[in-house]
This record gives sequence, C-alpha cells and structure tokens, in this order.
Amino acid sequence: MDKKFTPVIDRYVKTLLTDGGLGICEGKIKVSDITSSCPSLKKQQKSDRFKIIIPYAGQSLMWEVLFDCNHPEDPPDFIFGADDNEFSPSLEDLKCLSEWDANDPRALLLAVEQLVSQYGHYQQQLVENNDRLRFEYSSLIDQTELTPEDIEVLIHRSETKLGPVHFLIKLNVDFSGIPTYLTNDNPGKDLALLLITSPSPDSNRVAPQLFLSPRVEQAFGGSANLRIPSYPNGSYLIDYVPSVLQLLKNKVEQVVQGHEKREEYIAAFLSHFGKSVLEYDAESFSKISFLFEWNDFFFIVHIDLPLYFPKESPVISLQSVYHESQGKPYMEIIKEYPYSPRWTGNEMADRTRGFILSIISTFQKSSVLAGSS
Amino acid sequence: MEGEDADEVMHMVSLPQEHRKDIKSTIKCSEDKNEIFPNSQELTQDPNELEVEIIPPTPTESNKQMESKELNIIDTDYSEENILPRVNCTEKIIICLDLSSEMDKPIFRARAGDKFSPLQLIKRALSFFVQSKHKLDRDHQFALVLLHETALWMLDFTNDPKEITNWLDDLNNTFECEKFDVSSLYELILKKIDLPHVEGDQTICPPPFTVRALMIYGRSHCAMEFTKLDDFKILDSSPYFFLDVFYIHEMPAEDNKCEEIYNSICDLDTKGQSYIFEASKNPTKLYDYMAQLLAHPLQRPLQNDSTYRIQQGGTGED
Repeated sequence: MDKKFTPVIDRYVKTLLTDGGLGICEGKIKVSDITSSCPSLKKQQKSDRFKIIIPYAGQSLMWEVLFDCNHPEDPPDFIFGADDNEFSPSLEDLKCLSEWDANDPRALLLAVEQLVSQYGHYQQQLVENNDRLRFEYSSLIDQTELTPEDIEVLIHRSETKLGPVHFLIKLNVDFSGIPTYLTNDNPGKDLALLLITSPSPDSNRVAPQLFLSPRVEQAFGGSANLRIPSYPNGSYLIDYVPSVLQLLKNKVEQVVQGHEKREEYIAAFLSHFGKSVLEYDAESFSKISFLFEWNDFFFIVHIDLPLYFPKESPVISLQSVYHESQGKPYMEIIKEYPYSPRWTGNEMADRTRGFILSIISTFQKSSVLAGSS
Repeated sequence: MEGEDADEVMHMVSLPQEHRKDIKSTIKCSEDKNEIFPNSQELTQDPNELEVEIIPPTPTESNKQMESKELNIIDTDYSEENILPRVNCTEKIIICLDLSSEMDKPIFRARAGDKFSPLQLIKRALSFFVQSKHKLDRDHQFALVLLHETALWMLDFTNDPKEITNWLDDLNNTFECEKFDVSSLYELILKKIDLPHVEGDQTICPPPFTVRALMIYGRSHCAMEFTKLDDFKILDSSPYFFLDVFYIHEMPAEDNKCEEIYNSICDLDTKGQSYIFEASKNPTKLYDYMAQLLAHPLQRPLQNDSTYRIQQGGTGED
C-alpha cells in the first residue's frame, strides 16, 4: 500500500525534512512510522500520522504528529515521549499552533521549532529543580562565554530517579585560521560539540564525548588526533568544559603553526640544498625529496613533514637508485635521528646533512647487500 | 653562407654567459674520462666533476640538417627566463624509447668486466625511474612511445608504474633502422596530448599538469632527421612542455656520428630548460643520470646549475 500523504500534509513534511536544522548541532529531522488514521479499502491510503525524530542534546526525541486526513488544514496534535509526561506547553506559548496557517508550507516546521523551544524551557525547569544541575548550568553561563543558546540539556526522569543527564555544549572555537587546503574536500560548517553524559546528577561516572564536523576533523588530521581527557572524579563542568575548549584552541594553533613551520623548514632546506631538489610540496609543504651524491654514490632522500610539525618530527627515508629489494627500489626509513622541535629550519637542514653523512656509508652497504640477494 | 649559418646556429645553441660556469681543471680520476669524445673533451658530463657543464659544440656541417635558420630563434635572451610557478603539479611523462638494433650492442662494461647492452640497462633504469617518480607523487602519469624510423605510440598514460614495467619486461625486439625522423615524435605528441592553455598570469597560476618527453636515443650511426617544423614549433612554444634527452652511444670515433647526433640533440633544446645526458661504457652513470631525470621540471634548477654533492663546501651552492 502506498504511504502517501495528502498533498497538503506532504508539503509540510517536505519542508520539515529539507529546511529543518534544529538545535546547536543543526541536525536534520527524520520522519518514520507513517500510518493513516482512516483505514480505507482504496489502494492509496491517505497517510496523516507519523513520527518525527528530533536531535536534541545528543539524543533523539521521538514525537508523534497526528493530522486528520479528513481535515488536513487543521493543525496537528502532538504526542510526546513517554518520559515526558509532564511536558505540556500551553497553547498561549504555541502561536504556531493557535494561529495555524494552513497555507504556509513551513507551518509544521515552525510548530516543531516552537515546541522544541518549549521543550528546552521544560528541561530548564528540571535543571532548576535540582541543586547540582542548577549549579552546573549556572556556573557555565556565568563564568564562561557560553550563552543559553550554546547549551542543550536533557534529563530523563523515571519514578525512582533522575537521570541519565545529557549536556550538549557548543564550543565556540575560531577555526578560520586553518589553511584552506586542509579543508578543501569538506565545505560545510565548522562545528565542535561536547556531549557530557552522566547516569545521575551526582554520579561520578561521567562520560564526555567530542563531536567535530567532518571539516574540522579533517583539518585536525582525523579523529585519532583528538583525544579529550577523561572526566576527573568529582569534577564540575565549569572545570572541565573550559579545559576542552582550551585543548581545541591549542589544536587549531598547532595546525596553523604547523603550516608555518613546515613552510619555514622547506624554505631552509631549499636554500641549503635547492640545487639537488627533485620535488617538493609547494602547497601544504608536507614533503620534499632530494638527490644527493656521496663518493660517486647517488641516493635519494625523502622527507615527510607531519601535520603537527615541529612537535612531531619529520620522517626521513633513504632510497637507492641502483639496487632493488623485492622488485622495488631499496628503501630505508630512518627510525630515529637527532632532533629538536626548537631548532630553526636552518639548523635542521645543517643537522640533517650531518646525520645523513654519518649513516650514508652504512646505507650504501645495506643497499648493495639487498640488491645482490 | 657558412659563416652566417654558423653565427645563427651558435646563437641558438649557446646559453648566455651568466648561465655557464668555468670548467674547473680539478677533474676526478675516472678511467673513462679521457676516452669519451677525445676530440672535444668538454662534452663529457661527469657529475663527479665540480661545476663542469656541457659546452655546446662548434657548429658543423651536420647542423644544416636541422634547418636551424628556419627556426627563427635569434636573439633569444635567456636572462629573462620564462618564469613559471615552482609548483609540483602532475607530470605527464612520455617515455620515448629507441628500439633500434644499436640498443642491443653490449657497449657498457661494469668494473667486474660484465658487458651490458643499452636496452638491458635502460629497462632496469626506467623501472627505477617510474617507481621512484610514483613514490614522489602518485598522480604522475607515464606513457610509452617507441622510436624506430619514426615514433610510435605504444601505451597510453597510466599512473601505475607496474603497467610500464610489465610492458618493458616483455620488450626484447629491436629493429634495424636506416634513419630517424625526430619531427615525427613531435607530431605524435601533439596528436595525443592537449597541452594546457596558459590561464591568467603565467608566472603565478600553475598549470593542471606539465608534459615531459623523455627521449632515450641509442644510435651512434644513424643521424636524426628533421622533416617538418610546425609541430615542433607548437610544442616548443608551450611553457608547459619539456624535452629531456638521454643519449646513449659508442665511443665517438671517425667512423660514427656521435658528435653530430649529440649536436642535433642540443639543438632541440631551444629554451635552455632541457636536461640532456649522454652515456657510454659506464653503467653506473646511466643510473645516476636517470635519477637526475626524476626532478620536476618546474622545480628543478637549470641543468648547468644542478649539483648533488651532499658534503658542504666546494659546490658553490650557497
């Protein structure tokens, strides 16, 4: 059977799906479980009921929307989640419903937005009613740059207890300094969200999670590079959240600096060895290779510069131009060499030369050996 | 008549003074040193020698075959080089391999006494070349052209070095060739490639890719012909087209045409941007030069300026 909405309702739903971007994660709304209130024997049922799934505080709210297929121009009814029996916003606060404009395709979207806003107020009430939560929330608002728009709280309630508790916090970090080539593949938003979950307001088993938009994750070189500290026992949000914020800011700083430092390194190496250069990455300065000769023995030096240079050292490899190992040119990756992130590019160039000279004889012997086996 | 030609030819092949360096007389002892080109020793390019560069040969009769006066490149002032951005854009490298029967002659001799033909060594060196180039950047592409009496397109562009090495592994047949028409190579390349147009400011905007013809010519007895100029001019006029040549030959002698051929090769380098190598007898040099050919044409120094000695001092690189 075809689950098609009547055209009127269909318009509302389409707008909800395409334009909906709710909350601080600006997440899309999903629609599911489409049914009809008026079963009919006709092939095409006129669906008028469905569930919407709304992202909120890192969780999903599932509400039911009930239109009447026989009166599609009437505003719908809503049924909220079982946990939220006490969530009943008054109609006075819900202009979108009391003054439902059936002709506006955005009518449903606006109604949902208003309801979510009211839901936020309702959750806020729950926060206010608990000492610990009230303290956590107000200290964030009062002592950091966070505003109420940056925080979404969700508290589950059962008969016996309060919890789990979810705080979703939008961390305002300036990502604009990140070089564009790092985010080329990901147009889109720069977003960093911290989700803190606790089984109850006073629990010590607090679990933090960091969510980055793909663009930011790419700029940081992947999720593996973003480890946030575990939540210290007995700690408060006002201690923890700023430390994560600072961590992110430092990371941005490192990425920006990394770019500048790599550029300096490449420039220094070019000024020392430019006449032996084979190729180098002229955009992100992530690699450079040279051809050198020592006692008639030619060899190639590949240098790979990591994202978090100079904290992470460059990777140096030597490659033979005469000898093969297993069908490929013989190559050795240097595991360790004298290095300090505090050296200037020029000093690194000098020291690298010195180091290569100290190992080149050994490399020559190894490559001859590899080639003859 | 000859005097005029000589002047024009001299002008075309010689680079201005500031690009040359003085030949140092401190030449490292190499057993092959004095045997190569006994009549014009300066033509040896041995990278172990400090600051030696190839002095273009004095013009000979053979240059007339190049129809050089029609190339109309007079008063080329290389002090205002074609400045291109030093970007490591993708390279499309056309390997142009000579398959004349001379490539089968065992003219190379290792220290231990083993003899090798140019084809044997070049196949191995090319394998190193494509694999190394692939390591430098996985986007670089390679195509294969074979040279008989004209140029023949064999393998379309691929960025997989194995395709090239597999193909080369199966390559064993050479052919007797009476001549070689180098303009056929230019004609072929122009047919197969769409050179990028110059967009915007040429000195700032990098091209999407550059094209490099890497010609490996192995004949000592078969001079190059140049029958048509048009395609050469078109390719030569593009700032994104490069020609590098590796000339492999017997010891120059009265009964061969090595010098003449070498001259013709140098004549192809009208902009002074090519890398031209010549090798004979010493297999190690072959690999050394092949490695030097890895350098990206937009980032490498002029051949005269390149130097590879890693030890400090004495190279004049600073």
